[in-house]
Amino acid sequence: MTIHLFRCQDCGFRCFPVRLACRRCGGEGFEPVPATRGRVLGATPTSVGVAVVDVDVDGVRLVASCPVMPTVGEELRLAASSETSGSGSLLFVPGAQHTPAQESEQHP
Amino acid sequence: MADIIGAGEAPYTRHPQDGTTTARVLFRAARQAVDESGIAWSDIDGLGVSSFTLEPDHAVDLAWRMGLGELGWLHQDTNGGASGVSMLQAAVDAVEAGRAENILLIAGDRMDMSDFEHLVSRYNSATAEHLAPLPMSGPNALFALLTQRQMSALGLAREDYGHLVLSQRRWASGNPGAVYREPMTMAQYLEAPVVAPPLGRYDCVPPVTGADAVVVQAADRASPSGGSGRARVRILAAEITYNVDDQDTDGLTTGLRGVAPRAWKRAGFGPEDLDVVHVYDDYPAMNIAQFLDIGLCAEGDVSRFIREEVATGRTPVNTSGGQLSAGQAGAGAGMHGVVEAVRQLSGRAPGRQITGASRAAVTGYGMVLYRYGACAGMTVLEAA
Repeated sequence: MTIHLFRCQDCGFRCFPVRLACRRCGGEGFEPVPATRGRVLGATPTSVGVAVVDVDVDGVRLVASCPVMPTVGEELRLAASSETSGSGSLLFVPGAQHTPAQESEQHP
Repeated sequence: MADIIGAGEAPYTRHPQDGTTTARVLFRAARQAVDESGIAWSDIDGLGVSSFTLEPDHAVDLAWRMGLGELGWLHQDTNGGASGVSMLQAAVDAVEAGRAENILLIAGDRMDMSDFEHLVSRYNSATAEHLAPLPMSGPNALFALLTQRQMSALGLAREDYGHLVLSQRRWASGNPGAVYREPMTMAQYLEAPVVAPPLGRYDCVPPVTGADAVVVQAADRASPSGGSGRARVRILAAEITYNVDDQDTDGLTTGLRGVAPRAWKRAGFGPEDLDVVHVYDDYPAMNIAQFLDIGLCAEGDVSRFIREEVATGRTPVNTSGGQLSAGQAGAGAGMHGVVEAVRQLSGRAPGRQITGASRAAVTGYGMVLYRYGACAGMTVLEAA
Protein backbone atom coordinates (compact mmCIF):
# COMPACT_ATOMS: atom_id res chain seq x y z
CA MET A 1 0.00 0.00 0.00
CA THR A 2 1.09 3.54 -0.61
CA ILE A 3 0.15 6.80 0.94
CA HIS A 4 0.70 10.03 -0.90
CA LEU A 5 2.30 12.94 0.84
CA PHE A 6 2.05 16.21 -1.02
CA ARG A 7 5.11 18.16 -2.10
CA CYS A 8 4.87 21.83 -2.96
CA GLN A 9 5.95 22.28 -6.57
CA ASP A 10 7.50 25.65 -5.75
CA CYS A 11 9.51 25.03 -2.57
CA GLY A 12 9.41 21.29 -1.92
CA PHE A 13 7.62 21.53 1.46
CA ARG A 14 5.76 18.29 2.23
CA CYS A 15 2.41 17.97 3.91
CA PHE A 16 -0.42 15.58 4.64
CA PRO A 17 -3.31 16.01 4.30
CA VAL A 18 -3.05 18.18 1.24
CA ARG A 19 -3.63 21.87 1.83
CA LEU A 20 -5.01 24.61 -0.36
CA ALA A 21 -1.70 26.44 -0.33
CA CYS A 22 1.79 25.78 0.93
CA ARG A 23 2.34 27.17 4.40
CA ARG A 24 5.96 27.91 3.62
CA CYS A 25 5.71 29.74 0.29
CA GLY A 26 2.00 30.08 -0.52
CA GLY A 27 2.27 28.00 -3.68
CA GLU A 28 -0.87 26.22 -4.82
CA GLY A 29 0.65 23.40 -6.81
CA PHE A 30 1.31 20.08 -5.11
CA GLU A 31 2.50 16.80 -6.50
CA PRO A 32 1.81 13.47 -4.80
CA VAL A 33 4.85 11.71 -3.38
CA PRO A 34 4.37 8.03 -2.60
CA ALA A 35 5.44 6.83 0.82
CA THR A 36 5.12 3.39 2.28
CA ARG A 37 6.93 3.48 5.63
CA GLY A 38 7.08 5.50 8.80
CA ARG A 39 8.94 5.63 12.09
CA VAL A 40 7.09 5.50 15.40
CA LEU A 41 7.34 8.66 17.50
CA GLY A 42 4.88 7.42 20.14
CA ALA A 43 2.11 4.90 20.66
CA THR A 44 -0.74 4.30 23.06
CA PRO A 45 -3.19 1.40 23.15
CA THR A 46 -6.91 1.95 22.89
CA SER A 47 -9.87 0.08 24.27
CA VAL A 48 -10.82 -1.22 20.81
CA GLY A 49 -7.66 -3.25 20.42
CA VAL A 50 -5.52 -1.06 18.20
CA ALA A 51 -2.75 1.35 19.10
CA VAL A 52 -2.90 5.00 18.11
CA VAL A 53 0.52 5.92 16.84
CA ASP A 54 2.35 9.10 16.04
CA VAL A 55 4.35 8.35 12.91
CA ASP A 56 7.05 10.27 11.09
CA VAL A 57 6.64 9.64 7.38
CA ASP A 58 9.44 11.30 5.45
CA GLY A 59 9.46 14.24 7.85
CA VAL A 60 5.67 14.63 8.09
CA ARG A 61 4.05 13.75 11.43
CA LEU A 62 0.92 11.66 11.00
CA VAL A 63 -1.56 10.03 13.35
CA ALA A 64 -2.45 6.48 12.46
CA SER A 65 -3.52 3.17 13.94
CA CYS A 66 -1.56 -0.05 14.33
CA PRO A 67 -2.97 -3.48 15.22
CA VAL A 68 -0.15 -4.14 17.68
CA MET A 69 1.65 -1.95 20.17
CA PRO A 70 4.87 -0.84 18.45
CA THR A 71 7.97 0.54 20.11
CA VAL A 72 9.20 4.09 19.79
CA GLY A 73 11.63 4.28 16.89
CA GLU A 74 10.27 1.16 15.23
CA GLU A 75 9.75 1.25 11.49
CA LEU A 76 6.22 0.54 10.30
CA ARG A 77 4.88 -0.04 6.83
CA LEU A 78 1.58 1.17 5.52
CA ALA A 79 -0.97 -1.61 5.42
CA ALA A 80 -4.11 0.10 4.31
CA SER A 81 -5.79 3.38 3.92
CA SER A 82 -9.40 3.96 3.04
CA GLU A 83 -8.22 6.58 0.57
CA THR A 84 -4.65 7.38 -0.31
CA SER A 85 -5.13 10.66 -2.09
CA GLY A 86 -5.26 12.79 0.99
CA SER A 87 -8.21 11.69 3.06
CA GLY A 88 -9.09 8.64 5.04
CA SER A 89 -7.58 6.98 8.08
CA LEU A 90 -4.17 5.36 8.00
CA LEU A 91 -3.27 1.89 9.19
CA PHE A 92 0.34 0.91 9.67
CA VAL A 93 1.69 -2.50 10.59
CA PRO A 94 5.12 -3.43 11.90
CA GLY A 95 8.00 -3.80 9.52
CA ALA A 96 10.20 -6.86 9.58
CA GLN A 97 11.85 -6.24 12.95
CA HIS A 98 8.90 -5.90 15.31
CA THR A 99 9.58 -6.38 19.00
CA PRO A 100 6.49 -6.09 21.20
CA ALA A 101 6.59 -2.94 23.30
CA GLN A 102 7.57 -3.42 26.91
CA GLU A 103 5.55 -1.81 29.63
CA SER A 104 8.50 0.34 30.62
CA GLU A 105 8.75 1.65 27.09
CA GLN A 106 5.10 2.55 27.02
CA HIS A 107 5.34 4.41 30.31
CA PRO A 108 8.58 6.33 30.32
CA MET B 1 -7.40 50.23 29.01
CA ALA B 2 -10.39 48.12 29.94
CA ASP B 3 -11.77 46.55 33.08
CA ILE B 4 -13.85 43.52 33.91
CA ILE B 5 -16.68 44.78 36.10
CA GLY B 6 -18.68 41.62 36.57
CA ALA B 7 -18.32 37.86 36.29
CA GLY B 8 -20.82 35.03 36.35
CA GLU B 9 -21.07 31.30 35.95
CA ALA B 10 -24.04 29.08 35.18
CA PRO B 11 -23.89 26.06 37.48
CA TYR B 12 -21.82 23.23 36.07
CA THR B 13 -23.51 19.85 35.87
CA ARG B 14 -22.51 16.46 34.46
CA HIS B 15 -26.06 15.56 33.58
CA PRO B 16 -28.23 18.46 32.45
CA GLN B 17 -31.93 18.34 33.11
CA ASP B 18 -34.21 17.55 30.20
CA GLY B 19 -34.99 20.67 28.26
CA THR B 20 -31.71 22.38 29.10
CA THR B 21 -30.57 24.41 26.12
CA THR B 22 -27.26 26.06 25.36
CA ALA B 23 -28.97 29.43 25.00
CA ARG B 24 -30.50 29.19 28.45
CA VAL B 25 -27.20 28.15 30.06
CA LEU B 26 -25.40 31.05 28.39
CA PHE B 27 -28.14 33.41 29.52
CA ARG B 28 -27.83 32.30 33.13
CA ALA B 29 -24.12 33.08 33.22
CA ALA B 30 -24.71 36.37 31.42
CA ARG B 31 -27.41 37.49 33.82
CA GLN B 32 -25.22 36.77 36.81
CA ALA B 33 -22.30 38.72 35.34
CA VAL B 34 -24.44 41.74 34.50
CA ASP B 35 -26.18 41.68 37.87
CA GLU B 36 -22.82 41.62 39.59
CA SER B 37 -21.51 44.51 37.50
CA GLY B 38 -24.22 46.81 38.78
CA ILE B 39 -25.13 48.07 35.32
CA ALA B 40 -28.55 47.58 33.78
CA TRP B 41 -29.29 44.86 31.24
CA SER B 42 -30.19 47.62 28.82
CA ASP B 43 -26.70 49.15 29.21
CA ILE B 44 -25.14 46.23 27.34
CA ASP B 45 -24.19 47.49 23.89
CA GLY B 46 -21.68 44.84 22.84
CA LEU B 47 -21.80 41.04 22.84
CA GLY B 48 -19.25 38.29 22.30
CA VAL B 49 -20.22 34.61 22.30
CA SER B 50 -18.32 31.35 22.06
CA SER B 51 -20.16 28.03 21.95
CA PHE B 52 -19.93 24.74 20.10
CA THR B 53 -23.60 23.87 20.46
CA LEU B 54 -25.49 27.09 19.85
CA GLU B 55 -26.29 26.01 16.29
CA PRO B 56 -28.37 26.72 14.33
CA ASP B 57 -28.36 30.04 16.17
CA HIS B 58 -25.59 32.59 15.99
CA ALA B 59 -24.51 35.44 18.23
CA VAL B 60 -27.18 37.78 16.91
CA ASP B 61 -29.89 35.18 17.51
CA LEU B 62 -28.71 34.85 21.09
CA ALA B 63 -28.73 38.63 21.52
CA TRP B 64 -32.31 38.71 20.30
CA ARG B 65 -33.38 35.80 22.49
CA MET B 66 -31.75 37.33 25.54
CA GLY B 67 -33.66 40.55 25.06
CA LEU B 68 -30.63 42.74 24.55
CA GLY B 69 -30.98 46.12 22.84
CA GLU B 70 -29.28 47.30 19.69
CA LEU B 71 -25.57 46.49 19.76
CA GLY B 72 -22.65 48.47 18.42
CA TRP B 73 -20.33 45.46 18.52
CA LEU B 74 -21.04 41.77 17.98
CA HIS B 75 -18.47 38.99 17.92
CA GLN B 76 -18.76 35.23 17.55
CA ASP B 77 -15.64 33.37 18.55
CA THR B 78 -14.87 29.83 17.45
CA ASN B 79 -11.61 29.21 19.25
CA GLY B 80 -12.79 26.84 21.97
CA GLY B 81 -10.35 26.75 24.86
CA ALA B 82 -8.65 29.87 23.60
CA SER B 83 -11.88 31.79 23.15
CA GLY B 84 -11.83 33.44 26.58
CA VAL B 85 -8.61 35.32 25.88
CA SER B 86 -9.52 35.76 22.24
CA MET B 87 -12.80 37.48 23.13
CA LEU B 88 -11.16 39.55 25.87
CA GLN B 89 -8.60 40.86 23.41
CA ALA B 90 -11.30 41.74 20.90
CA ALA B 91 -13.45 43.39 23.57
CA VAL B 92 -10.58 45.51 24.86
CA ASP B 93 -9.93 46.71 21.33
CA ALA B 94 -13.62 47.46 20.87
CA VAL B 95 -14.11 49.52 24.03
CA GLU B 96 -10.87 51.39 23.42
CA ALA B 97 -12.09 52.22 19.92
CA GLY B 98 -15.41 53.38 21.29
CA ARG B 99 -17.43 50.72 19.48
CA ALA B 100 -19.24 49.86 22.69
CA GLU B 101 -19.15 50.82 26.36
CA ASN B 102 -20.33 47.69 28.11
CA ILE B 103 -19.51 44.40 26.43
CA LEU B 104 -20.89 41.10 27.62
CA LEU B 105 -18.73 38.07 26.84
CA ILE B 106 -20.26 34.61 27.25
CA ALA B 107 -18.88 31.14 26.60
CA GLY B 108 -20.40 27.75 27.32
CA ASP B 109 -22.34 24.77 26.14
CA ARG B 110 -24.87 22.15 26.92
CA MET B 111 -22.57 19.17 26.84
CA ASP B 112 -24.21 15.86 27.63
CA MET B 113 -22.73 12.62 26.29
CA SER B 114 -24.44 12.82 22.91
CA ASP B 115 -23.39 16.45 22.47
CA PHE B 116 -19.83 15.50 23.34
CA GLU B 117 -19.74 12.54 20.97
CA HIS B 118 -21.13 14.65 18.17
CA LEU B 119 -18.58 17.36 18.84
CA VAL B 120 -15.49 15.17 18.93
CA SER B 121 -16.41 13.11 15.88
CA ARG B 122 -16.93 16.16 13.71
CA TYR B 123 -14.64 18.66 15.39
CA ASN B 124 -13.12 19.65 12.06
CA SER B 125 -12.48 18.05 8.69
CA ALA B 126 -9.11 16.59 9.71
CA THR B 127 -10.73 14.91 12.71
CA ALA B 128 -13.68 13.60 10.73
CA GLU B 129 -11.56 12.28 7.87
CA HIS B 130 -8.38 11.07 9.57
CA LEU B 131 -8.89 10.57 13.30
CA ALA B 132 -12.44 9.45 13.98
CA PRO B 133 -12.08 6.43 11.64
CA LEU B 134 -8.90 5.14 13.39
CA PRO B 135 -11.02 4.77 15.59
CA MET B 136 -10.42 7.66 17.95
CA SER B 137 -13.26 9.12 20.00
CA GLY B 138 -11.81 12.36 21.26
CA PRO B 139 -8.36 13.71 21.92
CA ASN B 140 -7.33 11.47 24.84
CA ALA B 141 -4.96 9.35 22.74
CA LEU B 142 -3.28 12.41 21.26
CA PHE B 143 -2.58 13.84 24.69
CA ALA B 144 -1.47 10.46 25.97
CA LEU B 145 1.22 10.53 23.30
CA LEU B 146 2.15 14.05 24.28
CA THR B 147 2.31 13.10 27.95
CA GLN B 148 4.60 10.16 27.16
CA ARG B 149 7.00 12.47 25.38
CA GLN B 150 6.83 15.05 28.14
CA MET B 151 7.57 12.46 30.84
CA SER B 152 10.58 11.33 28.88
CA ALA B 153 11.84 14.80 28.00
CA LEU B 154 11.47 16.27 31.49
CA GLY B 155 12.11 13.16 33.56
CA LEU B 156 8.69 13.24 35.19
CA ALA B 157 6.83 10.47 36.98
CA ARG B 158 3.09 9.85 37.07
CA GLU B 159 3.15 11.11 40.65
CA ASP B 160 4.17 14.54 39.37
CA TYR B 161 0.99 14.69 37.32
CA GLY B 162 -0.89 13.28 40.26
CA HIS B 163 0.22 16.13 42.49
CA LEU B 164 -1.27 18.59 40.01
CA VAL B 165 -4.56 16.72 39.93
CA LEU B 166 -4.72 16.33 43.71
CA SER B 167 -3.87 19.96 44.25
CA GLN B 168 -6.71 21.06 42.03
CA ARG B 169 -9.08 18.69 43.78
CA ARG B 170 -8.15 20.30 47.10
CA TRP B 171 -8.95 23.73 45.67
CA ALA B 172 -12.22 22.37 44.28
CA SER B 173 -13.30 21.34 47.76
CA GLY B 174 -13.71 25.06 48.45
CA ASN B 175 -15.65 25.76 45.28
CA PRO B 176 -19.33 24.82 45.46
CA GLY B 177 -19.50 25.17 41.68
CA ALA B 178 -17.05 22.34 41.02
CA VAL B 179 -18.60 19.03 39.97
CA TYR B 180 -15.94 16.96 41.80
CA ARG B 181 -15.07 18.18 45.28
CA GLU B 182 -14.32 15.03 47.25
CA PRO B 183 -10.71 14.71 48.41
CA MET B 184 -8.55 12.37 46.34
CA THR B 185 -5.50 10.40 47.39
CA MET B 186 -2.44 9.65 45.31
CA ALA B 187 -3.37 5.97 45.42
CA GLN B 188 -6.79 6.74 43.97
CA TYR B 189 -5.15 8.77 41.23
CA LEU B 190 -2.61 6.12 40.34
CA GLU B 191 -5.06 3.24 40.49
CA ALA B 192 -7.83 4.89 38.49
CA PRO B 193 -8.97 3.12 35.32
CA VAL B 194 -6.58 3.61 32.44
CA VAL B 195 -7.91 5.72 29.60
CA ALA B 196 -4.92 5.78 27.23
CA PRO B 197 -1.55 5.03 28.81
CA PRO B 198 -0.19 6.88 30.62
CA LEU B 199 -3.44 8.78 31.12
CA GLY B 200 -5.86 7.58 33.75
CA ARG B 201 -9.40 8.73 34.42
CA TYR B 202 -8.36 11.71 36.53
CA ASP B 203 -6.00 13.03 33.87
CA CYS B 204 -8.91 13.72 31.54
CA VAL B 205 -11.40 16.55 31.89
CA PRO B 206 -15.00 15.64 32.62
CA PRO B 207 -17.32 17.32 30.09
CA VAL B 208 -20.06 19.31 31.80
CA THR B 209 -22.91 21.60 30.89
CA GLY B 210 -22.26 25.16 31.99
CA ALA B 211 -21.21 28.66 30.97
CA ASP B 212 -19.06 31.58 32.09
CA ALA B 213 -19.44 35.28 31.44
CA VAL B 214 -17.80 38.63 32.13
CA VAL B 215 -18.68 42.26 31.48
CA VAL B 216 -15.93 44.44 30.00
CA GLN B 217 -15.99 48.21 30.24
CA ALA B 218 -13.57 50.93 29.19
CA ALA B 219 -11.46 51.88 32.16
CA ASP B 220 -12.02 55.60 31.57
CA ARG B 221 -15.78 55.21 31.32
CA ALA B 222 -16.38 54.09 34.82
CA SER B 223 -19.22 56.57 35.28
CA PRO B 224 -21.97 57.62 34.99
CA SER B 225 -23.22 54.24 33.73
CA GLY B 226 -20.12 52.65 35.07
CA GLY B 227 -21.66 50.11 37.33
CA SER B 228 -21.52 49.88 41.05
CA GLY B 229 -20.71 46.23 41.30
CA ARG B 230 -18.11 44.66 43.51
CA ALA B 231 -15.67 43.59 40.83
CA ARG B 232 -13.32 45.87 38.98
CA VAL B 233 -10.36 44.11 37.52
CA ARG B 234 -8.04 45.75 35.01
CA ILE B 235 -7.05 43.84 31.88
CA LEU B 236 -3.36 44.63 31.65
CA ALA B 237 -2.73 42.33 28.72
CA ALA B 238 -4.66 39.97 26.47
CA GLU B 239 -2.37 38.36 23.93
CA ILE B 240 -3.09 35.42 21.70
CA THR B 241 -1.74 33.57 18.72
CA TYR B 242 -3.61 31.43 16.20
CA ASN B 243 -2.71 28.71 13.73
CA VAL B 244 0.41 27.37 15.38
CA ASP B 245 1.04 24.41 13.12
CA ASP B 246 0.75 21.22 15.09
CA GLN B 247 2.70 19.11 12.60
CA ASP B 248 5.83 21.21 13.13
CA THR B 249 6.48 20.28 16.75
CA ASP B 250 6.16 17.53 19.30
CA GLY B 251 3.43 19.43 21.15
CA LEU B 252 5.52 20.02 24.26
CA THR B 253 5.38 23.76 23.73
CA THR B 254 2.36 25.84 22.83
CA GLY B 255 1.86 29.17 21.14
CA LEU B 256 2.18 30.71 24.60
CA ARG B 257 5.95 30.43 24.27
CA GLY B 258 5.81 33.38 21.85
CA VAL B 259 2.83 35.13 23.43
CA ALA B 260 3.98 35.29 27.06
CA PRO B 261 6.87 37.77 26.62
CA ARG B 262 4.47 40.20 24.96
CA ALA B 263 1.94 39.77 27.75
CA TRP B 264 4.50 40.31 30.51
CA LYS B 265 5.84 43.38 28.74
CA ARG B 266 2.40 44.90 28.49
CA ALA B 267 1.62 44.02 32.09
CA GLY B 268 4.82 45.56 33.38
CA PHE B 269 5.71 42.61 35.58
CA GLY B 270 6.52 38.93 35.29
CA PRO B 271 5.36 35.54 36.51
CA GLU B 272 7.21 35.91 39.81
CA ASP B 273 4.81 38.73 40.76
CA LEU B 274 1.58 36.74 40.38
CA ASP B 275 -0.69 35.91 43.29
CA VAL B 276 -2.76 33.35 41.43
CA VAL B 277 -2.45 31.51 38.11
CA HIS B 278 -5.03 29.77 35.96
CA VAL B 279 -3.67 27.60 33.20
CA TYR B 280 -5.79 25.73 30.69
CA ASP B 281 -5.92 22.23 32.12
CA ASP B 282 -7.62 19.84 29.74
CA TYR B 283 -4.80 17.43 30.68
CA PRO B 284 -2.19 17.92 33.41
CA ALA B 285 0.54 17.67 30.80
CA MET B 286 -0.79 20.90 29.37
CA ASN B 287 -0.46 22.60 32.76
CA ILE B 288 3.21 21.73 32.68
CA ALA B 289 3.69 22.84 29.09
CA GLN B 290 2.13 26.19 29.99
CA PHE B 291 4.12 26.56 33.23
CA LEU B 292 7.20 26.43 31.05
CA ASP B 293 5.80 28.56 28.25
CA ILE B 294 4.84 31.48 30.49
CA GLY B 295 8.04 31.29 32.53
CA LEU B 296 6.53 30.08 35.78
CA CYS B 297 9.26 27.48 36.15
CA ALA B 298 12.33 26.25 34.29
CA GLU B 299 12.69 22.98 32.38
CA GLY B 300 14.99 21.37 34.91
CA ASP B 301 12.81 22.41 37.82
CA VAL B 302 9.38 21.08 36.91
CA SER B 303 9.06 18.26 39.42
CA ARG B 304 10.26 20.41 42.32
CA PHE B 305 7.98 23.25 41.23
CA ILE B 306 4.97 20.94 41.18
CA ARG B 307 5.72 19.29 44.51
CA GLU B 308 6.97 22.32 46.47
CA GLU B 309 5.01 25.18 44.90
CA VAL B 310 1.82 23.93 43.29
CA ALA B 311 1.02 20.99 45.56
CA THR B 312 1.60 23.08 48.69
CA GLY B 313 -0.50 25.97 47.41
CA ARG B 314 2.48 28.32 47.70
CA THR B 315 1.87 29.08 44.04
CA PRO B 316 -1.91 28.91 43.75
CA VAL B 317 -2.83 27.27 40.44
CA ASN B 318 -6.38 26.73 39.19
CA THR B 319 -8.07 27.62 42.47
CA SER B 320 -11.55 26.79 41.20
CA GLY B 321 -10.40 23.20 40.87
CA GLY B 322 -9.77 23.88 37.23
CA GLN B 323 -11.42 21.94 34.49
CA LEU B 324 -10.08 18.69 35.89
CA SER B 325 -12.27 19.01 38.98
CA ALA B 326 -14.76 21.78 38.19
CA GLY B 327 -15.51 20.43 34.72
CA GLN B 328 -15.04 21.41 31.09
CA ALA B 329 -18.09 23.31 29.91
CA GLY B 330 -17.33 23.11 26.20
CA ALA B 331 -16.25 26.53 24.95
CA GLY B 332 -16.84 27.82 28.48
CA ALA B 333 -13.55 26.22 29.42
CA GLY B 334 -11.81 29.15 27.77
CA MET B 335 -13.57 31.61 30.07
CA HIS B 336 -13.61 29.53 33.25
CA GLY B 337 -10.20 30.68 34.47
CA VAL B 338 -11.02 34.31 33.74
CA VAL B 339 -14.12 34.16 35.93
CA GLU B 340 -12.21 32.48 38.74
CA ALA B 341 -9.42 35.07 38.52
CA VAL B 342 -11.94 37.90 38.72
CA ARG B 343 -13.45 36.30 41.79
CA GLN B 344 -10.04 35.94 43.42
CA LEU B 345 -8.99 39.51 42.61
CA SER B 346 -12.22 40.97 43.90
CA GLY B 347 -12.15 38.96 47.12
CA ARG B 348 -15.16 36.83 46.28
CA ALA B 349 -13.81 33.30 46.32
CA PRO B 350 -14.96 32.09 49.73
CA GLY B 351 -13.53 28.75 50.72
CA ARG B 352 -10.52 29.17 48.47
CA GLN B 353 -9.74 32.89 48.64
CA ILE B 354 -6.07 33.84 48.29
CA THR B 355 -5.61 36.56 50.88
CA GLY B 356 -4.68 39.86 49.30
CA ALA B 357 -4.63 38.51 45.75
CA SER B 358 -4.14 41.41 43.36
CA ARG B 359 -2.45 39.97 40.27
CA ALA B 360 -3.42 36.97 38.15
CA ALA B 361 -2.62 35.39 34.82
CA VAL B 362 -5.01 33.20 32.87
CA THR B 363 -4.11 31.14 29.83
CA GLY B 364 -6.21 29.62 27.10
CA TYR B 365 -5.35 26.83 24.70
CA GLY B 366 -7.38 24.98 22.18
CA MET B 367 -8.57 23.93 18.77
CA VAL B 368 -6.82 20.70 17.97
CA LEU B 369 -6.36 20.85 14.21
CA TYR B 370 -4.93 17.37 13.77
CA ARG B 371 -2.52 16.65 16.63
CA TYR B 372 -2.47 19.50 19.17
CA GLY B 373 -4.01 22.88 19.93
CA ALA B 374 -3.40 25.60 17.37
CA CYS B 375 -4.52 28.60 19.44
CA ALA B 376 -3.04 29.85 22.68
CA GLY B 377 -3.49 33.04 24.62
CA MET B 378 -2.87 34.69 27.92
CA THR B 379 -4.39 37.53 29.87
CA VAL B 380 -2.83 39.33 32.82
CA LEU B 381 -5.25 40.88 35.30
CA GLU B 382 -4.89 43.19 38.26
CA ALA B 383 -7.34 44.30 40.91
CA ALA B 384 -8.29 47.89 40.01
